[in-house]
Amino acid sequence: MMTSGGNSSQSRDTRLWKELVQGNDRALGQLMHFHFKALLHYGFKFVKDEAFVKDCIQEVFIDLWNSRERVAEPTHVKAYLLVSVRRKIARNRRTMRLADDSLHDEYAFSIEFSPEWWMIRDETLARKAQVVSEMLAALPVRQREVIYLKYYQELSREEISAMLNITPQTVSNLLQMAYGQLRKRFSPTAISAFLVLLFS
Amino acid sequence: MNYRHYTATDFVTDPFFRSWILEQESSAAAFWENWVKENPDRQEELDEARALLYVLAEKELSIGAEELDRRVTDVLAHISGQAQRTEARMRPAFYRYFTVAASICVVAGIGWLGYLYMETKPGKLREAGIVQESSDGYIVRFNETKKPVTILLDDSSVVTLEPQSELTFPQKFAPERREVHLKGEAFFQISHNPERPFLVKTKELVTRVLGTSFTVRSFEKDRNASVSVKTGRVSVYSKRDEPVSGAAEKVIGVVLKPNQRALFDKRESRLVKVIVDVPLKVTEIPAASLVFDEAPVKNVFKTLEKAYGIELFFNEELLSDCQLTANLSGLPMYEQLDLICRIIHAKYEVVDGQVIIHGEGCKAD
Repeated sequence: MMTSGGNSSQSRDTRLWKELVQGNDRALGQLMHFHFKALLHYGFKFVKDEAFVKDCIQEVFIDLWNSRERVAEPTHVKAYLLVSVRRKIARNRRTMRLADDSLHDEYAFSIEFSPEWWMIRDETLARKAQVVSEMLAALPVRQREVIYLKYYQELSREEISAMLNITPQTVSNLLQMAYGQLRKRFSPTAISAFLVLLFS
Repeated sequence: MNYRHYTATDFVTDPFFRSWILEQESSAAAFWENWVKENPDRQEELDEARALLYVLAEKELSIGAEELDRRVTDVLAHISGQAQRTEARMRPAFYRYFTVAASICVVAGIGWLGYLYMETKPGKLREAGIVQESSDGYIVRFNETKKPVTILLDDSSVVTLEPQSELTFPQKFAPERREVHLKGEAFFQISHNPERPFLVKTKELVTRVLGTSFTVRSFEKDRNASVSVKTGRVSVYSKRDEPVSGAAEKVIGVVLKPNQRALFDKRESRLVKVIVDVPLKVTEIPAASLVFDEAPVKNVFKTLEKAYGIELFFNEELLSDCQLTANLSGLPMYEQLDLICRIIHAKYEVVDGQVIIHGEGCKAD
């Protein structure tokens, strides 16, 4: 197709949102179809339990339907859904009393870099991935999350700022700081031109 | 798109590149593996992008289409269960739509107005979920089941009536023409009879055929009404333009061929011709004929034209240097076009039910 990308999917989401608010359950189903994978991936960053995360996502959509007349239309539907999933996971974990104190913080965000999960056969590529993962692991949680949201979930600066409740400028600052941290910790040769671009 | 000038960050944000790493899509894999071979000097850049995506993606969290469908159904069943208790107006289980929607209809709106309409009608017969009513030689059938229902007409045409849809037809057709009225959605397989045209009327559109198969969709709730053609040819015009007998009015309508669809925008009263979401092959092409090895792109387009019965327009002279090495078998039409266009750095658009290719050619740099 000729047009694809952020804007068209955003206007599609907004259209579906309007339809579901009017009581169209198929619109809800479509929204769920479009975003389930991204939400699952995001939820897994908090809890390494796929089934649990999937159930949380279902609950988010049921909640959305039940409160559709009260919820204000979000500017960024995807960002709204991501936040909802994070909250749901935090809440469900608390009620389940899973003994993990770190998760009482809604914003606890852990990206794990277990290399055995990567399906990389190519050795050079695996080494590169190792370097990148070490760099990211060395970053503060918040900076890591911004990088994840920007480059994995492909959210815009504005979406990230809406999600994390910070200004767009702070998003840019976090990215800048991430770059600064990396420069301090790693030798210049490890940081390729690519990482410079990454944080610009 | 010229990937030669892409930096790693460009790759990371490129949807086609991402589909290779994140979805492991086969057509993308074929393209990129080939691209690296042809552009060895860009491998470093490409690998950095790959490494970052792999690290961020972490683990391949897969949810199969089936499980996803099931989870969506669960949610919809759950909320419609609630709705029935509290509002008694939502009809349950629209699940089926997700499996068939791609092939036959635009996704928008639901058909419960038809249901409300039926509720207010007196004196109806209920048999196995079909509501039937007869008066003045006309039969009205409303499908209140969750599955399509087959109706055989007097002239041995077959109508597959979708849920929440209503068909009105005479017990016996008039000698000069066959006419039915539809609310909602149905697939028609019309028996061939050039002397007696078959007309399907909906609120906005009239579809006229001699013998063919096609789908008509016109739910009150939807923004669009549509007609999609599977075989044969049909003409569609809006009700306003319907020819009045005796009048020499000019009728504005469209003629549809297989895999084309007429879309009527109710708000703007506009009739446009598009291509169905998932075009089906009208001619069976053996898989081996869809594997191309340095084939002139012109031949590739000709093959697709033949396969789908859809016309493709391109500047033969400009694209005369373009060659294609690709395996297009097993891919849906739009993915085939995406892949070809990526390889020859072209774009395509669908205009008036036809495909137009815009490319600048493939002269060696």
